[in-house]
Amino acid sequence: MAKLKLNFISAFNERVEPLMQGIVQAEAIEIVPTYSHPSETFLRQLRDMEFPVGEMSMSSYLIARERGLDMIALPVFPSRRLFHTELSYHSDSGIKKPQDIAGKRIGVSEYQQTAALWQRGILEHDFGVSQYKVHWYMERTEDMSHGGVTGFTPPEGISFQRVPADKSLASMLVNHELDVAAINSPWKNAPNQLGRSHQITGADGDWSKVKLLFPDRVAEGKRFFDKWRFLPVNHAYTIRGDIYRKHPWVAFNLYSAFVKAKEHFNAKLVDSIPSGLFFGKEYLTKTQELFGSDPFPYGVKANRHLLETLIDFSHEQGLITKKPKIEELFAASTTDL
Amino acid sequence: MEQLTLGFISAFNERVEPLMNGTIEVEGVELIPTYSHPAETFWRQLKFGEFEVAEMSMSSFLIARSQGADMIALPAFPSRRLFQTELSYHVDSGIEKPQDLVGKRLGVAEYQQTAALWLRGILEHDFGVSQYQIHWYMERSEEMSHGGATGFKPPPGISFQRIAGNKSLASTILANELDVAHVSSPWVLQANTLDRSSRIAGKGDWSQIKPLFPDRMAEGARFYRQHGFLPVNHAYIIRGDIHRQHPWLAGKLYDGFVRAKACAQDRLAAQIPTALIFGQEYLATTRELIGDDPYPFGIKANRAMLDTITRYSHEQGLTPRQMKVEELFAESTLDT
Repeated sequence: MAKLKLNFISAFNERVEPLMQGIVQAEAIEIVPTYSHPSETFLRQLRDMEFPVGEMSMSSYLIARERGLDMIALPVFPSRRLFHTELSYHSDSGIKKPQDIAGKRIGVSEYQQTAALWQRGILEHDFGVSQYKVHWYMERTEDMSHGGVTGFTPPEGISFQRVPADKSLASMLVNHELDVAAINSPWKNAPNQLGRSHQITGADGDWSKVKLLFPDRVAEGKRFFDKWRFLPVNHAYTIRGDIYRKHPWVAFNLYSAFVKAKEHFNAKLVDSIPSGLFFGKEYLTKTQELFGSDPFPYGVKANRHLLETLIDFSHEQGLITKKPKIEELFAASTTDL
Repeated sequence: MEQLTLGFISAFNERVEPLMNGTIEVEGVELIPTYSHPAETFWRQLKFGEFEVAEMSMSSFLIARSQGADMIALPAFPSRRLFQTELSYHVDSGIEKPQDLVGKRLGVAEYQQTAALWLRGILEHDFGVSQYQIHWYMERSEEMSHGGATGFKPPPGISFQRIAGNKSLASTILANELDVAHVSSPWVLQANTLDRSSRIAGKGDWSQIKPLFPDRMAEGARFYRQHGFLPVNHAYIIRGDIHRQHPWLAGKLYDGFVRAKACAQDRLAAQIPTALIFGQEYLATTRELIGDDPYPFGIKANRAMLDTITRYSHEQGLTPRQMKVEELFAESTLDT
């Protein structure tokens, strides 16, 4: 039986892994997986469109679609984090709470990345810190950034500078050349061609002066979820336009497989918690008490409020000029799901 | 150089896995790993001695050694649990707290298993419930049990019965033919040839079965504060003939276990599923409650634990005297 062979690029994600490993298979499709750091994945996909199916930055996807990117997304969101709780500050900055960030220097890997979009949106809407009152620093160079591919220019009225090439977010924060930086992403220290914090680590600095902006991440996570009713998404998966037009059935088949892969993982979740945590079951119960039994919902329906918020934030941050309809962003056969 | 090829049987354990999958190598040794349910592992090893290196029940090892079994242990203890918190009761039993177990029917997979040893010891010493005040029920049959291999007889004065062959721990607790059972073990409901709960699931309402310690973390913290360790159920043993033929092996293997554990510790944070969202915070909580290394290896770090388990074994009538550490572990590991 013939199957359509599709190269597939993604970071390791426990909810996608059964699909990448072949434990769960998409109907009529053979997936050839490439594991990749998201920053490299998005550069390769936005610039060279190397893979028929790939993980994609939600923020860069909105921007690139407005500029005619020939890809279509699936409402599959296996990667969610509380991005604003990944910010750290230097204790000499005088910052004590999120509101104190006004007037300060804040560093992000990339201005248009989804993590930074959420950080700006949440600081503005939940803590009253306008994006215009903060001095933004970006680590990635124009050549090696997603914005370089999608034609990024700093939105009007934004104070924007780049981190010098011989420095990194980590080294500038620890030396108090930045007041705040998003240095707690789980990806930051993984080697990749775009970021520098894994090479220029600032290891000789005094890290005891670097503190979490939200010292109680669990409490802040609960506050955020109780207010917004979702956990922020940064990535989805996209199909290249040529493949989608030629084989429109690929979208639904793949979506179903992503759902199955997530269910497969969820069924094994308790057993996959390392026994080194000792109270794994209790912790899982606590997480479910905070965020419900499925903090990673797929589909358009279950994510409408999240998608509207993401589009609102992108638009009000000047990253896109008009708000797209949600139905334009996702493969037609998946928009009722 | 010829390598020593050794059959090695163990359950999956994240602290041993690097040794089983070859990430960590032991000089001069090639391990051929067999993954196995502990119930089957111990039965096979106690009865047939098939493997040169094996995971072993601490309690059955104490019993077997007291009878002169030809095997020697390594002080590698990667498997620890709070066994008392794995007890569940039927709501119709009238039980509300551990002290209420007096006079009740309590079911375990096997009377002499290490989990049951700790249950009895902790109920007696921490909650004042004597082993003689409980009616003990055991699921495994004589042929298919570790006790069958080590000549188990119920200790004098113990109220002991077997669960009928057409029933299981699960089916009897559900039917309230037991008041309490050790059914929340991660292993007891998993299919294996010794335990019957996976085959005889029983009828009834699991919502009527409640954990004896509803707050496992609080009870875990209490236990750790009082005793200073987490209970161990398994160690690893080398078969006596291999140990005598290659006395260097014990030290080398122990070192491999230590390196494998270090490897797991390094990976721990990254191995926590992102579905927990707060994996790092939860790990920090665990460390606050039970320390940075809840799985210490070596004799020195486990003195109190070993003294307790050998004492419990003796006072429960499983061993005729309190076994000494020196008779249990390979000589080259006694200073670890």
